[in-house]
Amino acid sequence: MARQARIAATGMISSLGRGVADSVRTLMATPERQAGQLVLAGFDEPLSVPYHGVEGGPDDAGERLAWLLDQALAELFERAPLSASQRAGMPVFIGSSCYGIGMGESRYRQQLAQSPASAMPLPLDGFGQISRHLQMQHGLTGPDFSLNTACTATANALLGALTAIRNGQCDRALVVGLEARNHTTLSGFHGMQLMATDTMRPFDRRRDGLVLGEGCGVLLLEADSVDSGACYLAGGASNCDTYSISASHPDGSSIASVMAAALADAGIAGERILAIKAHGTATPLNDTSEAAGMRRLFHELPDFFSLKSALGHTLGSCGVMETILMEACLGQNRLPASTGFAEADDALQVAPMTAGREAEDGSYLLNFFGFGGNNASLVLNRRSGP
Amino acid sequence: MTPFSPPLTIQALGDFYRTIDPDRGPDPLRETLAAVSRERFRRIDRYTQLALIGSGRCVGDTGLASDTGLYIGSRFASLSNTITVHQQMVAGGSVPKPANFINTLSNSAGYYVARNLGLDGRNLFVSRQDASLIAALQLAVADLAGGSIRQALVGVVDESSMPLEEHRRRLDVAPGTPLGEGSHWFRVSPHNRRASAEDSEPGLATLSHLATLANEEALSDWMEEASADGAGIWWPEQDTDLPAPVAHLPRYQAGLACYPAAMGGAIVRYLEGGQQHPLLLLAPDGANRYHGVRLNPAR
Repeated sequence: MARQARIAATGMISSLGRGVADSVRTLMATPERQAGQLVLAGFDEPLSVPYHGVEGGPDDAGERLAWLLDQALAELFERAPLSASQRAGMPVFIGSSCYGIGMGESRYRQQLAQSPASAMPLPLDGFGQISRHLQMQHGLTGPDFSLNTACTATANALLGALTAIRNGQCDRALVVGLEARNHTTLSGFHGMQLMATDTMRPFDRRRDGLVLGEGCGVLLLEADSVDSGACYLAGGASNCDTYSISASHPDGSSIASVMAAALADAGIAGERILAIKAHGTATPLNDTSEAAGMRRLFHELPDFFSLKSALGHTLGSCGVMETILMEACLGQNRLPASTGFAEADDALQVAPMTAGREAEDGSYLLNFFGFGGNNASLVLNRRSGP
Repeated sequence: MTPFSPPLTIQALGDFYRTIDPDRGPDPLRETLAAVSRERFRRIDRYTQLALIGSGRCVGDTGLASDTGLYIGSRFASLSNTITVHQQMVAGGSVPKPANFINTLSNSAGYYVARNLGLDGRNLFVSRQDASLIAALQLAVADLAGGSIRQALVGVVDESSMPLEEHRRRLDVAPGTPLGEGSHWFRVSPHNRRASAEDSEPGLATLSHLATLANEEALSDWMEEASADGAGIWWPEQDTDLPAPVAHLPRYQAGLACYPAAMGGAIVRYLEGGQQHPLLLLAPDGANRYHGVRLNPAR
């Protein structure tokens, strides 16, 4: 049997809760989550945005980044207590949209206040901050890949880890996704007028944008040649749609293409997909393209849902955080409802699940799309026994 | 299978490099870009301009197959644009303008390169300090070995910014250190020793022994495997202290100023200079690790 990639352990902290179990409990129990309002100081005009932030933790940007990582990794290492040599040898695939940008903002702001003449924007190497913390605090000194492909960053990180395991380059790989609050991202999305007024309504006629989310997810992928009961990353694909830098082609062609490539990579036919975790950002353009892509590929569309109304859009880390939630839900033989949806949009011709339901063993498709034309789809295969 | 194999054959290369004049700052790129880019793009930043120029020079008029993967490595990505955004936002209290915000995304350059060259496949941005080229090559090798792509276009791009003394602080180098910027690109495919002359391009060189080394002991072990008769060593040119395990090797210097993408510039210049011996290239990452590759020029 070819080398398979089993999800061996996970850890996460999110606006839903501390730990995977707590997050899934909130996800399953809450029909519709209202985002908080985050006031961003330092702008000429008052600026407040809806936000699914993590409760508690340090305010300092650097300490918060480290705290989020440490919380998620503590949960993972409790489940998979790797030895020092195992930690040192495995590759680490990181995905984030923020990396150390919040630390750069904060340090620049301090310099402006204390010695404006020598204040310097971007005073530190932002991309290296997560990897450096993982090396220094957790002994993760193997090859590190700090990927940034916008909202597909950790979907691509998962694909990188899957490829390395399939190739026999390693027996295990760690995937890390982190999104920490920062002004650049929040005010940037505000400036692009992509923020919802209050809540996300994926695929709903009234959808008016997204709510950003904060969190960290870590996932250990291990080679497994034994057909055991577990959740496997069975395949996936990514591509680049050059229609527009900020939206996929509205005819759904590139989205259908990446989903088809993921199915081919996993070696299964579309009819065997039991449900789809949609990207579902509740922006008019994303949901239009994704609905068109799903209709284009599937003769009979499986049930589908979005997790973002509950979790918030965690940008570059949504790939691993939503995969972790999916794995945990499947472990309970349940699929969550697509919260935030109530009124169908006739133009989309599709509607997500409005209630949770039982999940059977089998294959599930997970979609992730990002700015820069980056599209990714993953296939999870859940088997409750050999 | 070694962690990052098979070796890669460099089928083509192309680049752009400038030492930054301390008085004038970085040269405008518009005319250089117009000479090489197939499409005209509006509202792109300097980082994307550099990426388009380097990749355009590497690919030329060649049509690339749709199963070509695109991999860009960089330490800072869109540096000058992000600096502007932070000056306006943190110091000026303004919300980022949409075009500027979009360009702060590290994969914007990859989008424009893909669009310019007609690529629609795998498209990744990766960062690993001054070893970002090694990280990009490692990703490309893995995807080539896995069969998701047949060839790869791999680039390493880093821009400079003004004032230079500020950028020297950012790079943590001594005052007065000459600074540069560059965009260095390689079209690579898996090296197949058994391929007949008819079914494989001869190539300019191979890249082998890609490795991330946790410490100096690991570097010594790597040296035993990677070193070869007559091999030289490239190490960041402004750094006088070579790690002990490679200090005895003849040092190759390409005459490049200091910038994070310099390893890519050294590879291009070594091959264009007609060098015949293998060259080991090493980069530190500020965390006691080393990242290496062996360049083997075709004879």
